Amino acid sequence: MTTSFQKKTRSKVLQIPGAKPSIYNNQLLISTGIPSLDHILGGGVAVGTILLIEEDTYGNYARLMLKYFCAEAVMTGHSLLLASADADPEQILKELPAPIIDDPGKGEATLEEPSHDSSSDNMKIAWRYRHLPKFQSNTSGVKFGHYYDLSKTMESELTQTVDISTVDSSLCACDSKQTDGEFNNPGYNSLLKTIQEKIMANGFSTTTQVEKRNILRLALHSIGSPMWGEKGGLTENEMYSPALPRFLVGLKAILRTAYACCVITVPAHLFCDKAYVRRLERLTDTVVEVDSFVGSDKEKNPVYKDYHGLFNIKQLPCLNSLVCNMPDSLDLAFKLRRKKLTIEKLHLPPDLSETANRSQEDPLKNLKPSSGCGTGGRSNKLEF
Amino acid sequence: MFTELKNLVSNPNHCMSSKYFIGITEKKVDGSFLIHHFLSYFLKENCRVIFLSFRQALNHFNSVGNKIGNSLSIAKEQGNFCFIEGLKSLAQSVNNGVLCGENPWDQTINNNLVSADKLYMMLQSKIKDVSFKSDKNVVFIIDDISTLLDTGTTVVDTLAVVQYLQHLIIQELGGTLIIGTNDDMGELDDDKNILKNYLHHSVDLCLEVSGLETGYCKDVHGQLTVSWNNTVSREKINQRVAQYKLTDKNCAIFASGMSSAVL
Repeated sequence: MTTSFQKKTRSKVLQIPGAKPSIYNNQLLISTGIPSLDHILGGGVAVGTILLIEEDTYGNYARLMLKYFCAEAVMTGHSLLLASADADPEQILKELPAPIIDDPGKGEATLEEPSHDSSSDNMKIAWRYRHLPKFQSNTSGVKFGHYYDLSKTMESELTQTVDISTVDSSLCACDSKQTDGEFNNPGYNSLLKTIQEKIMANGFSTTTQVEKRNILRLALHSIGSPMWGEKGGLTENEMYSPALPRFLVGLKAILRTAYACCVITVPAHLFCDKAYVRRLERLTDTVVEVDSFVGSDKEKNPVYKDYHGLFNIKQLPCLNSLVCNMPDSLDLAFKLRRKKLTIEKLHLPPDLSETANRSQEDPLKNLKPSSGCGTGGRSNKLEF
Repeated sequence: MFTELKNLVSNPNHCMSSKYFIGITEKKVDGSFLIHHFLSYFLKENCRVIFLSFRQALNHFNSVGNKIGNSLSIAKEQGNFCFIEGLKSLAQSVNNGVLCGENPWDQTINNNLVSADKLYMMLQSKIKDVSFKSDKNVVFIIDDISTLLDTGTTVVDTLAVVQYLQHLIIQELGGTLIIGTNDDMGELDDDKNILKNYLHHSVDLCLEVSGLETGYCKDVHGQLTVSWNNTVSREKINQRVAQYKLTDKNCAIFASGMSSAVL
């Protein structure tokens, strides 16, 4: 293929703190708060799109990912709208992970003020760097993506520095009397209205002119759970309920003309039908599934002993471009360490034991039903 | 316009820009590159293109169009291109007026549902407006009609819209109709399956996009099955299968297993 060495003019891309243009298609991206997830999604989540996270059975890991997303809003100074009917949104805000601040000046000021005199003088490690200036040369202000420490929670003073609004279960409870037939869900309707009003009032719409452009992050927790009045995606007469698809279509239409980005977690295992879940996926942009091993057979399987669950990418967005980012491999798994959640390629551990688990069925076979090539219908490669 | 794709789908016995019905079905992959291809193909063929999108806003098609050398804004100025904001209007229509802004689809709602005949009436007046201005062939494109099913329209009503449009565009105006739908779950999703079967039955050219049987691959993005229905001579269905890979500005087509990444 021929390449023409023309320098692209990127003057049109806006400079917004905490956002960067994608290296693939110049789309404006923001970080999810998990660097490994950003990398998989092609640098981050594109502004104006919806990221759908299908929850694991108990919803713990998906909630953690949502917390990362919220924490990133605090660190970058983006506005945040957090909605949850299952948990108290204020409580979620209190449990955000604490940022790891690698800037020495800042770190001392916020974290180590009480023990200042004991620690700062006797630094012996890295003594040769003593005369270096204490501030970092990176003066761009807010950088893209932060690291967090899950063992600590973010201080509430820090959380209060950004504009956060919350929506809790009272929203759907108060309106539940007034029903609009079986097609719309009053809870979703008022949530959509709140989002719309927030975007209009604070100038996040692409049509309004503001001096300093900021980005709105929407974090919607457990949409489609029974707390929102959802009955497994069905209407009274056992048809697919159009309420949630309607909400998603509305949300997508709003986001396409706004400097906003939305992360929704959905308890997909509560829905009646896989076909219904697939319909929901089609209406959003990026879809990932968190499949935790808790309570399943895989938990005991030695192959997976390094991981806490599988991470499936179901759909990647191609907004403003012909092709979406194609990652090298879709076999991903996540693990939760003491301080952080990481998503990485699934590697099998070396089989060192004498009494190897050969008798066991190949566990990856069920995972990728059609990925083997050539080995016919045999159940095991060692079988003749 | 992707030249390789054009060569693959063209039929020597039939001109695609008059009295032609094209169906696009997607199975678990995104087939929007076909929509981009047909937009630019028919604009180059000097047709009047009316495009109803339920998936994306105009902005998206503008920026992809610019990449593949098809300026929609110029075509719009010349009156050859008309975009109908399906996503926004549908969202406004089905959400109880929560979304602000003027809604051109106000009259299509009946009892909280998009009504088939009112939607058709609205589309018909748009299409006639465009087609009466000149004697160029009219091309009408819908990128994903199954969005109507998702938002609660029954399959009967959705099929009615398709049939009305088929009659109007193909019989009355002698133009081309392109309708896309998705068929991810096959028979698990009854309504979408009915829609897909109807399209397969009634189109002249059917394009099926699906993922690879052998799973995900970075260098081969999917498989495209092209079939021509020949209703007159009752021959066996004429079919071609090819694989494709999308790049930033182009779509490479090759025979199955002949990808440069494999050879």
